[in-house]
Amino acid sequence: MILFAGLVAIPYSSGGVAEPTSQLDERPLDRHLYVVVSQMDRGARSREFRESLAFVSAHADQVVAAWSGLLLAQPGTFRKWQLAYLVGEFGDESAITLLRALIDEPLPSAQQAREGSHMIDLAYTEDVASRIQAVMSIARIASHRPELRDRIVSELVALGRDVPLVKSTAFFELHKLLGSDFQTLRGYFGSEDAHHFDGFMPPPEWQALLQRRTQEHRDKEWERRQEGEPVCRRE
Amino acid sequence: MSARVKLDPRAKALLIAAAIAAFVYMFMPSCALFLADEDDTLCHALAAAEAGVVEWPVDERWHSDPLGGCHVFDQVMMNPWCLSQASQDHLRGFGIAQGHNWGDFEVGDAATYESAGSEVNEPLGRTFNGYANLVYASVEGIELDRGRSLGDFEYYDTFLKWANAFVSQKTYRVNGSCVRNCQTVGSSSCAIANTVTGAFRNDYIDLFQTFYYDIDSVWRASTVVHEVRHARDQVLHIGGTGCPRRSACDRKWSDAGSNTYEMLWLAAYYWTPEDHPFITPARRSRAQALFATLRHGSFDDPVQWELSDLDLINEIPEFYVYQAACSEDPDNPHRCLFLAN
Repeated sequence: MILFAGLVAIPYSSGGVAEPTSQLDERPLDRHLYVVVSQMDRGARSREFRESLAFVSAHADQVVAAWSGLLLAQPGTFRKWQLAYLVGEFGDESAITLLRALIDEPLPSAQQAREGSHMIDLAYTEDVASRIQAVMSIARIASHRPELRDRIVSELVALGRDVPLVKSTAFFELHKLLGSDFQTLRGYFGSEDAHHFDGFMPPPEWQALLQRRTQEHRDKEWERRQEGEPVCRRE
Repeated sequence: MSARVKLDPRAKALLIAAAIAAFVYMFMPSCALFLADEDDTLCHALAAAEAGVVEWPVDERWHSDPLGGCHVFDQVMMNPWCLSQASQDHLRGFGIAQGHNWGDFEVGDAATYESAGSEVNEPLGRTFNGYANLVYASVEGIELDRGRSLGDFEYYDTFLKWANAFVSQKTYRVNGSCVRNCQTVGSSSCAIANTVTGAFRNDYIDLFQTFYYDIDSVWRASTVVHEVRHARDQVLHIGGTGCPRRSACDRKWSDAGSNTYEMLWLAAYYWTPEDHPFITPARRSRAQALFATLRHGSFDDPVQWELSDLDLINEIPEFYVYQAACSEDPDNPHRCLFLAN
């Protein structure tokens, strides 16, 4: 939301209402940010989203600067997760720095709940989810900024080694990013992390069923793609 | 001779309190009235921007309160049930039709949506959006036969299909509730839903205000899987020491409790084709983040299973139901077998 865009176009005063300023140049950015935020679920399936994302990508540093307060200073909310996700869709090098700062922010303690109440701290949950998303988004940036790939790999390796909260996600994203080259990173990690490099495989007695099902599902997927989208959706 | 009953002062106080509560209940407003005024939400401000100028919301809730957020997974166009009565009937079949209190919310149709952000904003509609993730995660959608034996893995040949039938068959009643069940007013420590179960009663699930308005639709769906595991299977939380979710924690993965089931479903949702017609990249990312969040915070003992280990969950779901869910308990590796009965 454009609280982000708003922060680009309208300086926000923490006391309450901000006074709009006339910054005509930023107005298109507001509009495109609105599209990117509101159409995030449809994502690249929407032409309008793709166009706006391209515009926002071209102004990534401005948006990252405007969003930094929201990502770093605010308590956990769905929106915080959402912004962390979107930064990964258009972010540049400054976005990697911002996302890393979010991951390194001290995690607040979960609020105590009454014994047996089964209450969970929603803000804490969203704070964790935002940090996890930050790792995913750092990796995501490599898909549209290939020139940053080496920096991103270094960042993910560091996260896998140094930040227990996101270790598992960092390994997962490294594997996705590097494919079979992932194995070359084995030497950077200790024996306690060896299992990340040894993919899980179901026991031998399940292999025949696995092969049959995989083939059946592949065939079904092929049929679905031939038929077009079966689920009703309105553009 | 006239008989006068003298009431104990405590009984009198209780009666007065009950009368007041009954009076207040008669005028209890809809959940929707607890929503932030849409004019004060950021979404509205953004959508209503004229010539690119955003009219900044006066209310500061957008800045820190989840209610002011844009619930992008609740947009009407991305939830196919909105267009079909058959789909809505199918969703009611998950125990909502038997549920209590839904009538209290009917200030509008379930598919009523807020014009600016196109977000479905009624409690029932948002509940449907949660269940939609269970239903449309399988390309069969509402055509999936939910009534077959849970051991029929030739039919339920993905975990997502199986979970859909599991939820359907093991839910008796799902109640709406306007209660915001939090530690204190303004606290972020809240119950999202609660399941009541027992040997000699019909189980039921209460969904609280936080379910509709504080969490997104993917989380709502995984919460349903979580609660259903409490319901007919009567598997309760037994963890809580040294675990961030405290009394909502399970002791370990191999207890095959609600948190294990929730994580299995999130993993299955994640491991779907990239061009899935319903599961968009944003929803898939959300599932991945929620999976990792649960893995971190809802078990006393660290979980060994990782998202990457579960990549075949939609190929051989029976392996994950029969063995993987119990796999970290070397003494009793097959105690999940009853789930398929």
